[in-house]
Amino acid sequence: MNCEQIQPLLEAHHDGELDAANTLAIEHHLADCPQCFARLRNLGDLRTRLGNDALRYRAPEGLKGKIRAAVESAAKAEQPATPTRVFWARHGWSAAAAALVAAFVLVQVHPGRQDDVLLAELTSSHVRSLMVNHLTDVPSSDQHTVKPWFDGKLDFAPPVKELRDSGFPLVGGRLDYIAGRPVAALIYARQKHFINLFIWPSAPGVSDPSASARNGYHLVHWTNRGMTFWAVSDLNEKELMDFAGLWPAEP
Amino acid sequence: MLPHLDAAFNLARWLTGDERDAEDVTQEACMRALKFFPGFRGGNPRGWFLTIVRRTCWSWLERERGRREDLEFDEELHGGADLSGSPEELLLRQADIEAVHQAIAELPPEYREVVILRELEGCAYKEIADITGIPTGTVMSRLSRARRQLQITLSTHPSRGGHS
Repeated sequence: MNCEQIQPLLEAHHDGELDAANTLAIEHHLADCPQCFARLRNLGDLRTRLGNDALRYRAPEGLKGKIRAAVESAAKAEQPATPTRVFWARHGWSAAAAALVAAFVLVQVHPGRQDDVLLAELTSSHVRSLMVNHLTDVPSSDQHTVKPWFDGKLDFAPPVKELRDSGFPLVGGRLDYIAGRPVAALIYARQKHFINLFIWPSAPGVSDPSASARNGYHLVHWTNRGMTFWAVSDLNEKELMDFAGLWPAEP
Repeated sequence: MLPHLDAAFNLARWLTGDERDAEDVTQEACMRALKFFPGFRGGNPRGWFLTIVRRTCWSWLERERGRREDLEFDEELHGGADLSGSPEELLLRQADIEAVHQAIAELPPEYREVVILRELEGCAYKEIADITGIPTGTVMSRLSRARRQLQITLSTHPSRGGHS
């Protein structure tokens, strides 16, 4: 591939949207081409600047209350003409909101649901963490430093283990946002490779590690201890499955 | 409550450019979401909700555009809408954030929305295509042009702590 052929693919590569073959071809080219490498670096710089949290607006505190009031008055005003309206009118906002939230949550953390969007999100998150130099929020190889760091930042306590003796030293932890919720990301190293282990609560139940791949990255998913786990890395599938094997369900 | 309220508000705030309008649009989108919820068949809830928010924003933008004058968006020719007259009411302290903020605000809304969805909400191309209803190829070309415009605008405000 030459520079001209690379151009249309460079941004897709930057966005973690390329298949393995093209990714390899691009990386090959980047190794020898300072111009294209600089372009990619500029894209990374732009992403870093856009990634500043101050640029993301949060819904004002009062908005939830306003929405609640609007829904309640709409429910009162409407004549119960259809079964749906009867439902909203009778049960009001709280039931409607509960149904909506329950549906959102169920869809998001249903174990074993390996939908494409989630895989893409996990992979881009992994790639982004390596690309923008934001691998860890709390760089530490000590599980007793990393675990308490998550306290108060998440509404659950992710399990944190030091796995140096098994060849996967803990590098640190990071807050991330996957499937529309804040999640814990633990970072482990394997020689020159990094593993992002994403953890969030799921319905009780146990599922064994299962592997998939996307854009040349491997993903292994399992569920136990009421948590769902996703390990993402450019490590080969076997080693990533070995890593998953270090997180057995508790007896 | 609604787990995607921040994402919804963020998109609405960037597209409308105004705090109060963003609140109105978000609220209207919530009402629509509740109304259409029985038709939601599962899949990607954030994408589903953002599709409604985005549609509500565009109706709002079209009303606003009609109020000013007909500004047809041309994929090839546009030179960047001039929004510099709009008051910058946000208390953003750092100069860099302010520069980046300004650069995004100056993008035409067609470019702004793909940048917000990709860079601030972390959506994949496919998800952006679903939310905006435009083909993936167009998502990619808009994103590419938007980035080029941002890079040009921001080249006069080099980031501190960047590469030397």
